[in-house]
Amino acid sequence: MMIQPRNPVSSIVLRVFLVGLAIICVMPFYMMIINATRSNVEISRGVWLTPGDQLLRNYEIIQSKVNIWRGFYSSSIIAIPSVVLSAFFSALTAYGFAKFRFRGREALFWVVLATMMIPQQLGLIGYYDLVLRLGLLDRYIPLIIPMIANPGMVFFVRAYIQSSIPDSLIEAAIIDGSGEFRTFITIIFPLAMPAVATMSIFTFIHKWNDLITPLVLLNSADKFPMPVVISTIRGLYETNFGAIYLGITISVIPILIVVVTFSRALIRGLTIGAIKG
Amino acid sequence: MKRGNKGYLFILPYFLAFLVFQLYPIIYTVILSFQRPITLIDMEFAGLENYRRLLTTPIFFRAIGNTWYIWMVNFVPQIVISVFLAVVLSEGRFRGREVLRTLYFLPNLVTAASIGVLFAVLMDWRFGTLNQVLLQLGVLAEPINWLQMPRVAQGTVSLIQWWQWFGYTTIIFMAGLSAISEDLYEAAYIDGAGRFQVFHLITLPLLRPTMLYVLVTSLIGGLQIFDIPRVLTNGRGAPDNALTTMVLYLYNQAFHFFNVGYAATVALFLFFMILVFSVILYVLLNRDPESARMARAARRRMRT
Amino acid sequence: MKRVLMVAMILIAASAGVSAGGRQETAPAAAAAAPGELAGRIVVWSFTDEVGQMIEPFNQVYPNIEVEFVVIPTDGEAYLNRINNAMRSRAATPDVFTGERAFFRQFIDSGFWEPLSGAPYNAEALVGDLVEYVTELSRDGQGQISALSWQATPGALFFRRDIARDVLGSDDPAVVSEWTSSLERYYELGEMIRDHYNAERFLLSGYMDMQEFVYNQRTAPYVQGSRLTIPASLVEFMQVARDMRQNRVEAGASTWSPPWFSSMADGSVFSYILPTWGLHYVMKPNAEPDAHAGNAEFRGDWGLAVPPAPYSWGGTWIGVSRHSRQKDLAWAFVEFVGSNPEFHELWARSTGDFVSNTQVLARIKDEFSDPFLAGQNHYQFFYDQVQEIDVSFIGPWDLQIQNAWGDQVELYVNGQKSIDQAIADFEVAVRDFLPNVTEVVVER
Repeated sequence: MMIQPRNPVSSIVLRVFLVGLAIICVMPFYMMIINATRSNVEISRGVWLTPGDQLLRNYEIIQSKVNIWRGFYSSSIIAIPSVVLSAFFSALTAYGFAKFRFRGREALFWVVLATMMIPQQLGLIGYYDLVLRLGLLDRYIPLIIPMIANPGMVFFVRAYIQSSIPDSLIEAAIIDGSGEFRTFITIIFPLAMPAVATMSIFTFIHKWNDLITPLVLLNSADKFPMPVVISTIRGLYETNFGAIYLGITISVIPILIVVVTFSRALIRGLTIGAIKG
Repeated sequence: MKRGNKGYLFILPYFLAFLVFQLYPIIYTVILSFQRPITLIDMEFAGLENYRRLLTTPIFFRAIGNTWYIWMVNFVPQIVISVFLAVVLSEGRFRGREVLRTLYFLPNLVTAASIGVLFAVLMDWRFGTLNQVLLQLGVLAEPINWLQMPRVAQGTVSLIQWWQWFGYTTIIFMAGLSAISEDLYEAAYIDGAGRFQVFHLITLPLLRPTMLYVLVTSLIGGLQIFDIPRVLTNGRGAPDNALTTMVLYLYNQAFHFFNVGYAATVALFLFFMILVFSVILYVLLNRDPESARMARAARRRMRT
Repeated sequence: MKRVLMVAMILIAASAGVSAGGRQETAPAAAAAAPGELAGRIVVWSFTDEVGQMIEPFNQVYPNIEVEFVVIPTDGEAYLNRINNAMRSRAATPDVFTGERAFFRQFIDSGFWEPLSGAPYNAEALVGDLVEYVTELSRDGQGQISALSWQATPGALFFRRDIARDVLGSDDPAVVSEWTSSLERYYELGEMIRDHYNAERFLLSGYMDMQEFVYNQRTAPYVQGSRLTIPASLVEFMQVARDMRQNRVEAGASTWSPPWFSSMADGSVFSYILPTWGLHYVMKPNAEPDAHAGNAEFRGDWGLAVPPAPYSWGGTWIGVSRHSRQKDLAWAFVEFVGSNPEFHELWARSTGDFVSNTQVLARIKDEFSDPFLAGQNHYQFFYDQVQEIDVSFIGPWDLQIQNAWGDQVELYVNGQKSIDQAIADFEVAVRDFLPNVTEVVVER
C-alpha cells in the first residue's frame, strides 16, 4: 500500500498499541521459559519474571523419566513428511478446484470442507479401528499419509489461487505447449508459494503439537513424539511443574526456528507475489 | 478430453486419501449414534433414543448457547483487530514489522493445555496474581473467585482464545492482502481516493475470499472449542456448566460417562450445525457486490 | 519345530501353573521348575512408571520372560481410551495392564481382565495373604477375582507438629488423634488454630481435602436399582465446608492446585488428608523438596493422626488382558507383582510403599520409622488403619456422582446459591449421566 503522510500523534498511539500487543503475546511465553528454570515449589508460589537456578535439576528430572531427544526425533519423522505431503497435494487439489470447471465441483469441495466439521475426538475411535484393520498400528504411516487430504490447506490455497493467479497466465502457458501437470509444477506451485508456505507453518505446528492421535495409534514408548513424552513427565501424584515447562520449552524451540526461518521466506514470497499479481 | 475434466485428475489423490482414511471414521460415528452402551465397549441398537434424549436435554442446549457466546465474544474483536493489524503491517512503513508479526504469532505455538495451566495460576481466587495485584492496588477489598462467575469464566475463555488466534488471523489476512495488486492502490490514489475509501472500495472487497476462509475456519474451529474450558475446569465445565461447550459435553459423555453412542449423536448434531452456518456464510460472502465489481473494473482499466 | 516347542512349553507352563496355584509348599518341585521354563515376551501397559521398576526383580525369578513396559500418560483420558480401543478391537497387545481406582471397576464390569479365581490361575489361594479390601474390590459380577494389586492405600491425616504443640500443647499423635478423629472436634480445633494465629494459619489448605473421608462415610451404594441415595453425611459436608470458608478455618486452595502444593512448604497449614502414597509422592517432595532430593536432612515437622473417618483412596490394580495370547506369562507377572512375598518385602523397603501382602506387613511393620514424620512408624499406623476399611458400598459411578456433588459444594461454599438450589442442580447434573435413575433421594 502506498505511503500516506500521517499525523505524528496517531502514529505514536499506533506504535504504543502495537508494542503493547506484542508484550501481551510474549509475556506468558516468557513466563513459561522462566518457569523452566524454577522449582516446583517456586512455581506454585506465584509468577516469576527472573530466571532461577533449577534448569539443570529440571533437565535431570526429565532425563530420569523419559528420553526427550528420542521424542524430538520421532516428532520430526512425523511432522516433516506430513508437511511436505500436505503442501504438495493441497496445492494440487486447490488448483484442481480453482481453475478447472468439472461436474460436481462445488459438491466435492463441500465434501472437503465438511470433513473439518466433525469433532475429531470421536472420529479417533473409528480411526483406531480402521488402522488396526489395515495392520498399521504402532507405525508412523497412519499419522503421515492422511495428510494428503488436508482440507484447511486446500481451502486456503484455493482461495489464494482464485484471487491472485489470472486465467490468462495459465492459458498462455497451455498455448506455449506446456502440459497441465508441468504448468502446475513450473508456474502455479511457485506462484501459490506464499499461501502454501503460510499453511505449511500451521500444519507443522499442528502436527508437532498433536498429542491425542499419536497417543491412540502408537504402542511403543520409543516411537512417542514430543507431546506424548512431555505428558509422561507428569507423574500421577507428583507435580513436576518445572520439568514440564522445560519439556514444553524444548518442544517449542523447533517450531520457533521453523516460524522464524519460514517467516523470512514468507515475507519474500509475499513481496514477490505482490509484484507479479 | 475437455480441459475442465482434467480437474478430476488433480483432485484424485486427495479423494483417494479421503476414502481410505477419513470416510470410515465418519461412518463409524454415524453408526455409533444409534447405539446404547452395555459395558465400556459393548453396545446394542438403540434406534433414535440418543436423538430423542439430545433434544430433551437442557444441559445440551446450554452447551450450544455457551459455545456460540464464547466464539462470538472472541471472534468479533479478533477479526477487527486482525484486519487492522494486517493493513498496518503490510504497509511496510514500520521497522521491525516482521518481528512484530512473529511475536503476535507466538501464542499459537503452544498448546491450549499449556496455556490453560498458566491462566489457572494467574486467576486462582486466593493466590492468583490477578487478585493479588488488584488487592494491592486497592481495587478490591476481598479476593473475587473469578472463575466461579459464569460470565467472567466465559470471558476468560474468549480472551485466551482471542489471544491465541489473532496473530494467526493477521498472518492469513496479510497473505490475502499480498494477492492484491499494488497498481490498484496506486490507481485509486491517483484518482484521488482517501485512505478509508481505498480500504472500503478496494481492500475489503478483494479480501473477500480470505475473509470467507477466516470466517468459515474460525466457525469450524470455534464451535469445536474444548481444550481451554477443559483445562480451566478440570474437565467439568463448572461453574454449573457455564463452560460446558458442545465438544466438552460430547467428550465428557464419551469418556467420563462412557456413553459413546450419545456422544456420537452430539457430534453429528454439531456437524450439521456447523455445516448449515458455513453454507449461510458462504452464500452471503460469495455474492458479487458492487464494490468488488468496481475494483475489477479498475483492474481491467489499468491492463488496457 | 519352533512352534511345537512353544506349544509344549506353554503346556508345561500351564500345568505347572495349575499345580503351583496353591501354596508354594504344596508343590515345591513344580513351582521351582516353572519360572525358568516360562519363556517369551509380554507387553505391559500402565499410566505411571512404577511398574517399570518391578521388571528387574521379576526377571530375577523369571529370567526368560521379557517384559516390554509402556507408560501411557493419563492426559485427557488417553490411558482409558487406549485400553478401551484395544479391548474393543480384541487386540492381543497389551498382555497385562493396570487400572486406577477411579475407573478400574468399569474395566472389571466390562470384562477387560481375565477372571483369576479358577484354574489355571487359582488366585483364591492367594487371598488369605492379601489385604482383604484389595481383593474384594476386584471381584466381578460372578464374584471372581479379576485383578491384584501390590499396594493397599488406607488413609491418614498428616499434621504439622509445631502447630500441634502451640495449640494443643503436645505433638503426640495419640493426643492429636483425639482432636482429629471426629468431625466436630476437628472443626473445633480449626477454630482454635485460627484464634491462636490470628487467622494466619489454617486447619486445612482447602475444605475439598475432606472429600475422601466424607465420601467413605456411608453404608450403602449410591445407586440401587433406579434409585440414587445421597446420605446425610454429604449434605452435612456441604454445610461444614461453607462454615469453614466463612470462619476462615480453611485457606481456600483447591486440592492439587499449585497453591495447595506450595502451602505444604510454607508452614501455614496444619493438616492434609492423604493416604499411604501421599507420604512419599505428595508430602515429602512438596513440603521438603531439598531433603526429598537427598540434599538435606528431613526436619521431622510432620506426624500422622487418625482422620475423622477411615477411608482408602486411590490404588492401582493389575490384571491379565482377556485377549492376551500368552495368559500364562501374563499371569506369572501379575501374580508376582500382586502377591509374591519376597517382592513385596523388597518393594516396601525400597520405596516405602504400603504393600498388600499381609504376611509381609505383619513381618516388617515394626521396623519402620520415617525421619520426615520425626521417626513415627507410618507402617504400623497404616497397618492399623487398613483393618478399618469397608468397601461394601463402592459402586461403578461413585467418581462421577461425587464430582457432581463436589461442584455444587463449591458453588454453595462460594455463596452462589442456597443448599436447596444446589441439591436441585445436582439432580439435573446426575440425570445427565445416569439416565436410568428415576428417583433421587437426598437424606437430610
